[in-house]
Amino acid sequence: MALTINSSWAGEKEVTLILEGRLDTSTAPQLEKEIQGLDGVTCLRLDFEKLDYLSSAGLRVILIAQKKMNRCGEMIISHVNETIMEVFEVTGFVDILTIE
Amino acid sequence: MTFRSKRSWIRTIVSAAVFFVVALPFKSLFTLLPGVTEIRPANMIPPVLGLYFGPAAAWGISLGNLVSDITAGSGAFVCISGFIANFFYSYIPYKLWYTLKIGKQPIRPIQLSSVTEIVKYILIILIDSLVTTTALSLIFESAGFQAMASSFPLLFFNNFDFAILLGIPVLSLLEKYRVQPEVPKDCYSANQNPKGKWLDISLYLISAVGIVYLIFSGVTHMQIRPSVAFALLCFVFVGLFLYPLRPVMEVEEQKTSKGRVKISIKTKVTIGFLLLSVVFLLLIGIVTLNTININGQWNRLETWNYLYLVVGITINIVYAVAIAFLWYVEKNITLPIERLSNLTEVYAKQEHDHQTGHEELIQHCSEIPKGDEIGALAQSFQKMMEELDSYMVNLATITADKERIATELNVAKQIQASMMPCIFPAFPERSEFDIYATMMPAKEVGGDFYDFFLIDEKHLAVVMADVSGKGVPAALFMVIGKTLIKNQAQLGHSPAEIFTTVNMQLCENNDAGLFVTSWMGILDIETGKFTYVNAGHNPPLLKKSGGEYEYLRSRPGFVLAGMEGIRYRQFEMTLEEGDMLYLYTDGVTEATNSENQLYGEDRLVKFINQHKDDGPQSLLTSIKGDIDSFVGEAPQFDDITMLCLKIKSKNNT
Repeated sequence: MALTINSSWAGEKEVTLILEGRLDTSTAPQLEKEIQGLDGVTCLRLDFEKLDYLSSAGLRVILIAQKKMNRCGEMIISHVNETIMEVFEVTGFVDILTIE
Repeated sequence: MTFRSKRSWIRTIVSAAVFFVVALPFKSLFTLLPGVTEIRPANMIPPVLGLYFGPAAAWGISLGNLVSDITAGSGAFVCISGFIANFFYSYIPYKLWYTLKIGKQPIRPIQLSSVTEIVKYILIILIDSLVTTTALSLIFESAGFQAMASSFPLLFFNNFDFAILLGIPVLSLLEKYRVQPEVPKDCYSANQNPKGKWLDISLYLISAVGIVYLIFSGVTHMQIRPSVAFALLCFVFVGLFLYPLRPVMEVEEQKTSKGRVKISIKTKVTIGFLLLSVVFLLLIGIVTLNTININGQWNRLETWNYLYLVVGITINIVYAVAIAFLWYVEKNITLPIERLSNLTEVYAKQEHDHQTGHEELIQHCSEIPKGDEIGALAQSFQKMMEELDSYMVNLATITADKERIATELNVAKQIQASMMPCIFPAFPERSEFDIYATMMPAKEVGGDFYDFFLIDEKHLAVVMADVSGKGVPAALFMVIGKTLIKNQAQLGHSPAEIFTTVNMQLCENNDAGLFVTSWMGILDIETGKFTYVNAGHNPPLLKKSGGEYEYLRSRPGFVLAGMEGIRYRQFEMTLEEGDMLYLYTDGVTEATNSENQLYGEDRLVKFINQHKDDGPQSLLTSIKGDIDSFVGEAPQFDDITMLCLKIKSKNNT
């Protein structure tokens, strides 16, 4: 299973990345690359509605994204399912992320 | 000339039978010279079978001829001379094939698959027909039977025309059905120089006698005196009977490397073209036969004499053209293809490692003429060989590098394993608790680690941690994390303090964005007070004495190395005798089987409660066994790390 990333822009500084599939060791670099390319964005939204699985490598990329956005704007994660929410809770990520 | 085996006998009998059956009908139906000869398509049989079966066929054919002569009522003189003539007519081609060497081509068992071999066949038939006809004509002449001038051309073309016209298709058929030819056994190699080579001369002398004699009698129209003819006949006979002593040359067996090629393109082209020319010649023969006798003023002898001449001359013209064409095709198409095919075959069979270069093959390949499709094919093949060679060298370098890295990773794995306490029982002198732990990395090195150590005489620390990601980066980060935690713990700080400090230190130089989920507890061995802290790790399972395993849930702090300035909170509880604490990483619950199902927390809790009375070591072994049987053949994706602590009895001292 792979990861598909669809991005939709609202203006020049706001983007939503819709993730579909698994965010694990093999697909995390894909998202990392995508996020590195988002210079100048002030509002990053991650839509997790179709995300099935999140591994620690995926958490690492989310953390990198959060740190990047901390410097220049905000990051909002939406539509988190129960399984992934549990991962966020167990790892303490809920404390540092903005989850809608 | 000895009959070596049963096979030789069979060949003799078959040859006799075939010759008899084909020869007899023509005897009475198509007589040309009454009592001497007739139209004899059967005359192609002796050289063809002779070439294929050697002496056995020669005996068989002379016998067959004898029987057919007797059956037709020929006189004893004709019978005997026919016997001798037919024996040599069959035997000479066989001997010539294995003694005559044209150009550099080695002598191979009879086949018509190249221009050289066709030229050789025609040459052999020419000599054979000349020699036999000379002998026969002289026999008839010396007996006063028939003038040589009139019989010679007839006898000659009777042999030559039919042997070429019908012999070639029959030989092709024998070849196609892969009839095994008889190959002489007692051969000498090209280096040896045996006595008896001069015996070839006898054949050429006999041929020369025949030709000179024919021209002489044809020009002068003189009847040769029987005594002169007889003297010449004696000379011819001496030559003929000596000739079988001629030693044969070494025969090159069919190369086994051509095993995959049943009939080569060269053979196919050659035979196809030969058969075409045979059809053409037959048509010419038929047309001639029907046109020359239109007025009916010629008798049969005259007609056939003329016909034989026409066909004989046409054969030479057609074959001159055919051979020129085939030579061209062979030189430009079939030989290059054959060479290329052999090259590819040799190449395919060779070893292909970085040490074997293919310079020699590449050299051969570059010698194939360029400019047409075959040349292009050769060039492509050459390029492929060169590229593969350099690819092999590259691959060898890369493989060596890979092997080196694999070795280093293996060493790293050992170093990593030895960093975690792995000697059990770990504290044989302490009776208050029992502890056991295992780790199975998924790749060569992993990011999981466990640790346990005595901070001082009455404090035991246990740590379970999982670095995000896998492989070398995770392992390096794990080393740092483990060292920092232990260092901080040994300063006597509380778990929350330890994690707060370690988090700060880990954040300082964390460009890679790695983080560690970690769970740590410190047990006061005397009081049983157990202080623990969780940095984003999955909670452990706790079994109170007499109870069931249950999750020890506490509000987790953020992962270590994730964010600067995190303050961790610690929790407290009391552990009593018989209590068990089971720590693990998500490699356990996320072990996946081939149907992509997770092992899961429910299964773990259920299984561990079935084994709740087991000691730490047997418990971990059982869980590992259950995970293994659940996963089956599916590969292990994540490190699987577990630790189990059992409180035995309070320190009474």
